[in-house]
Amino acid sequence: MSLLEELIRSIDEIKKAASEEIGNVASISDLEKLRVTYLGRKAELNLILRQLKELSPEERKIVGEKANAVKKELEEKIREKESQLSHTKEKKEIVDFSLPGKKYYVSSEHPIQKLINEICEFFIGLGYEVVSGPEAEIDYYNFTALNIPPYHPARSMHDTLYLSESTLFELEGTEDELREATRKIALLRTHTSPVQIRTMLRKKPPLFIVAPGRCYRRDVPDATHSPVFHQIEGLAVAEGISFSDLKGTLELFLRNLFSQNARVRFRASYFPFTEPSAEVDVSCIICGGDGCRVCKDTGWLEVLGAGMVHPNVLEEVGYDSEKYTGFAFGMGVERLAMLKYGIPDIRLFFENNLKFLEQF
Amino acid sequence: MKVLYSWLKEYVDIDIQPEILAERLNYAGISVESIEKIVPSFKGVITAKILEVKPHPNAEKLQIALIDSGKGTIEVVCGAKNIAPGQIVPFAPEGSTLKNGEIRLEARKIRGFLSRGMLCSEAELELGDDESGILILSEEISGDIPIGVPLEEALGIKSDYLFEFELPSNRPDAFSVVGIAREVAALFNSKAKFPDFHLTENGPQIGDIVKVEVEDENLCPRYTAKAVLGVINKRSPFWMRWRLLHSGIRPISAIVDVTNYVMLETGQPLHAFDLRFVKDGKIIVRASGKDEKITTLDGVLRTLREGMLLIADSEKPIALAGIMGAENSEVKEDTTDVIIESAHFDSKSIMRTSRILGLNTEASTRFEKKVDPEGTVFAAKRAAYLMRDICGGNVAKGEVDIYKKKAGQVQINVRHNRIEKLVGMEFSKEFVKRTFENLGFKVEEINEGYRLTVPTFRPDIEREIDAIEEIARIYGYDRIESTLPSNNHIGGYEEDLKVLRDIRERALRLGFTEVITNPLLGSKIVEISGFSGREEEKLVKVVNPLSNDLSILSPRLALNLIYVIRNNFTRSVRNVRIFELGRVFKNSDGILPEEKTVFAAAVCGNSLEKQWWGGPLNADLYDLKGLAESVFGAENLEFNPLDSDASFDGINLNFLEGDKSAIITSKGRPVGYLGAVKSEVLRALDIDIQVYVMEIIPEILKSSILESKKYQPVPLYPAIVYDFSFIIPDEILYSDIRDAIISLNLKYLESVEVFDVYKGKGIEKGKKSMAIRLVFRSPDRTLEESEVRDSFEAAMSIVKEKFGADIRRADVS
Repeated sequence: MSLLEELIRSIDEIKKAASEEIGNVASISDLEKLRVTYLGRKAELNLILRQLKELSPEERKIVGEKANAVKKELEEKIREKESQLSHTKEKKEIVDFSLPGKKYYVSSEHPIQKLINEICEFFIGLGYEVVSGPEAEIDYYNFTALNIPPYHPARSMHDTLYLSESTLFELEGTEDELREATRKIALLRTHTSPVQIRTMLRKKPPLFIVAPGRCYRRDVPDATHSPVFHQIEGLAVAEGISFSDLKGTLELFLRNLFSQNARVRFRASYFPFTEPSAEVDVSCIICGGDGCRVCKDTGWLEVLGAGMVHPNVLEEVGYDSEKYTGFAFGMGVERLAMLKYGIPDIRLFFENNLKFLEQF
Repeated sequence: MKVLYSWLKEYVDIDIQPEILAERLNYAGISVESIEKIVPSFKGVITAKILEVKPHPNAEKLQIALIDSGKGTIEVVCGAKNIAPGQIVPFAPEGSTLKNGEIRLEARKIRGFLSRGMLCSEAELELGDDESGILILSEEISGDIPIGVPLEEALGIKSDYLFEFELPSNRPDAFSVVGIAREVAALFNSKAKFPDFHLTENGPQIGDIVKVEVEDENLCPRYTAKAVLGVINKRSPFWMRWRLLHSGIRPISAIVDVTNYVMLETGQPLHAFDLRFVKDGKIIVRASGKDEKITTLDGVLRTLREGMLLIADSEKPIALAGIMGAENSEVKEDTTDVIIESAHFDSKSIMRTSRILGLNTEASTRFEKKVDPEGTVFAAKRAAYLMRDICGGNVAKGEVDIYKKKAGQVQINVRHNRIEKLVGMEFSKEFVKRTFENLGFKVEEINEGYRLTVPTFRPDIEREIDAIEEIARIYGYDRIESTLPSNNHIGGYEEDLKVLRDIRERALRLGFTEVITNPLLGSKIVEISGFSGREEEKLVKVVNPLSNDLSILSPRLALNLIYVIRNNFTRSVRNVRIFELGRVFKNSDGILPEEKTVFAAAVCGNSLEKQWWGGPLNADLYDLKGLAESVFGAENLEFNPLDSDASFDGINLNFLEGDKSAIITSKGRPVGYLGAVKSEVLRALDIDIQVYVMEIIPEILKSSILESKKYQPVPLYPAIVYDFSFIIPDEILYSDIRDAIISLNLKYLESVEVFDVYKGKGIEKGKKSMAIRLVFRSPDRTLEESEVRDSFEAAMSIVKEKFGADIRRADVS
């Protein structure tokens, strides 16, 4: 038998065997194996084609065309079989979409931290740096440096938890001696304002900071009071900062936090560390200002305390109060979260019931 | 403070809707908490004159009154004994109602006598609490009272509003009706008026009656006294009682009521002494000696500390200065001669005494805020006038007025452009000047602005900024425009917070829920956790805790998480996977305790529930180890089994099972711990499931978090992967195997990883089966299996030879 005849016979045999096997194959993976066997790089058909150089040009043409035709035919058959197989498979295997999806343990954020981050991010956008300070604080930073010297009436507004015996009321001494004595009294900070002092002592103006953190007061726990709570303090000190700037900043902030349509109002108030001081209200987010139980029929919700930094405070940290002016503001995070999410009781935040937390 | 609108209007000419007034006052910082419309609870009650009183024919205790109701005479039955002909009284005729309609009057027979209505007591009309007899209007109201007119008209209480103010603590002047009137005047460009009266003094010279000695003029810069002799201390008139009641002060007797009334009116606290009990009429203002005792008006015997300010006579203390009088000199029903004290006491001294004794009164809260030192004489005269007017008697001529330490006059300069710069808008000079004047300042225009003379009743105005606030506040914050400051800083988190933020995000991604706990713990958890003896000294305690349950600052955040698990347990939530970033506290040598931010996590129950496709997966120590490794990088952490009496960060770990716990180190430095909580600790908290906890101090590891990410080439060529399993003694650790293989320094070895550990059925006791996967890869070409086959064999050999492993299977995949 000539090489030509031999090759042609081989091609016919391959075709026969392959067609038969393709016809019998029952799964896509087996079909895939056949594809490799008959059409792959090491497949017989390809080996045949490599022997073409030993034939005359005419013979080469005959064998080449035949081999390629068989190759095409087999490819077609495999394709057909493939679609046939995938079709029958659909009929055989049933996916029960009524079964529940896999349930994994999904984590939740604590609503207080979530809100703190949201608020901080807003101020970061305005160019503020987020800073922190200790929760156990000295009286001097918590009160004295904030223009609340010993014997200041405002000290009674904060029911303070002390870590060292406060003997201020028993000390005899000059005003300066008493002020110095407050550096030696440890307490749990009653607000985040001492972070203002600590930051101003280590940085020079201009200064734009927000300080979130935990605070403590000697409050009996009830639906709206908790001995531990969170505040966010803001402070901006630079040349030429005015009360108008404070208004603009907080209006923008509150509209961002509550709603574009929220109205904001500033009322005069008194804080020892700011002057002029203001309480800031936002139109009731429940009733829109018409009056409801949440706003006690006033249409307004008190959400912030703010004011221009008192020159005594600036001078206490060695800033030039003629050159620099600034504003400060502080807010209770729990109160904001209660309003924002409609949470009725502040104690829920610290109970950490997972059924509560998983809602956030 | 609560004030009736009608009272306020006596001192300032305004006629504004109460809601509008409240709004303006709110903006100006005089917060109006509420406005209550005052409406009598009776309807149709009129004035009537008693013409005749005669006994009831059938009842000894009742009388018949014949009255003139303005529209003829009527007979009514009356049980009260205090009625007499000629009196004018409240009469509730047929058809009138009492107590908001609860009682409707009808003609009815009382013991056989037809009564057409009734005469009313103060209590029945809900005008006060006196129910002892009929309210005799002719004794309460001076001047002619018309007959047959509505009672509310006759009493002058027809239509009124009660304002409740929340006043700023730096405004002692506002704690008075006159003070609020002054604010109203400034807001509406009007002027406030002081109470107008003419005092007749026709008694003896004051010096013959009272002598005052002030021992410490620093504690008592001013002491003014007046005397009224021969008074009859009866009930104060209706109008005064009405106002006091609505201001929240219980009427007692005319003399006492007058002192309270004038305090509310002017802001100056007053005290009245009965001259009988002041020995020799001599008042000494002095500091108390050690352990001096006084029984105050509330009936409490108080032992004083040295240096508390007292009012005494030559024998005994008769009042706790500025806070409360003593029982021994109290004004009584039969008091005839009264000394009125109107003093100025040092605010700090009052505050100190009040705090130490825990005694707050209307007087002490005012003195603490610094009352007007120039207001004493006016208030004393006003009180003398009212006492004489109500109780008769004679006012002694003149007053004692010891005023050695005169209040200095405060003058400040206010620059007009500073006002504008600080507020951020322009003001007219005319508005600024007028506003200061309406608030009681003397204003002199100077070059750059104004020279103000600050009234003595405004101790809060000390420097320019205080005056600027007055302008902003009276102008109204609502009218100030809004701008944004120019700020070219780039915002962001400071480094430590950035670390915490990243830890938090990674923990959340791993399915741990964030909690926030109260750091204040009770002594119970601390006790059951094994902090006793010397450990206890390290705990930071609150010296004035609200309760024992909130007295210790947490030394271990894990304890707080155990509490969270307990809270959830009581609500049948048993699968818990939580973390917290919080602070822990430990006593230090310094003033402040050592305070550290820690990352704590806890798990219990299942980390995956049994479901139709698989599970359950028990939560265990490896959940926490995995958390730590994912957050801080496995290469940065080592886990070392606990020693018998191990501690972390100077505090013991007695609450953990020693053999199921480890100290976490990083390059040999302790950074945290993890472990199983002891069952007795859990039992004490009624938790019946194993709880695992972990705590890590991120500070030491922060570089691993802050490390800036650098690109690593992604593997391009396929790996050759070998798996082999073997049986080894249980005490051989995975790390022994891993380290042994790594020590071979096999070429192309990319990783060694355990993927199965099994003990139990089918495996001999004391042994375990382990399966290891080795991955070989070349960074620049496809490896042939033959190139690494020897390395794999070498790895298997060392495991076999070094640890006596019995190789079960080996595959290349």
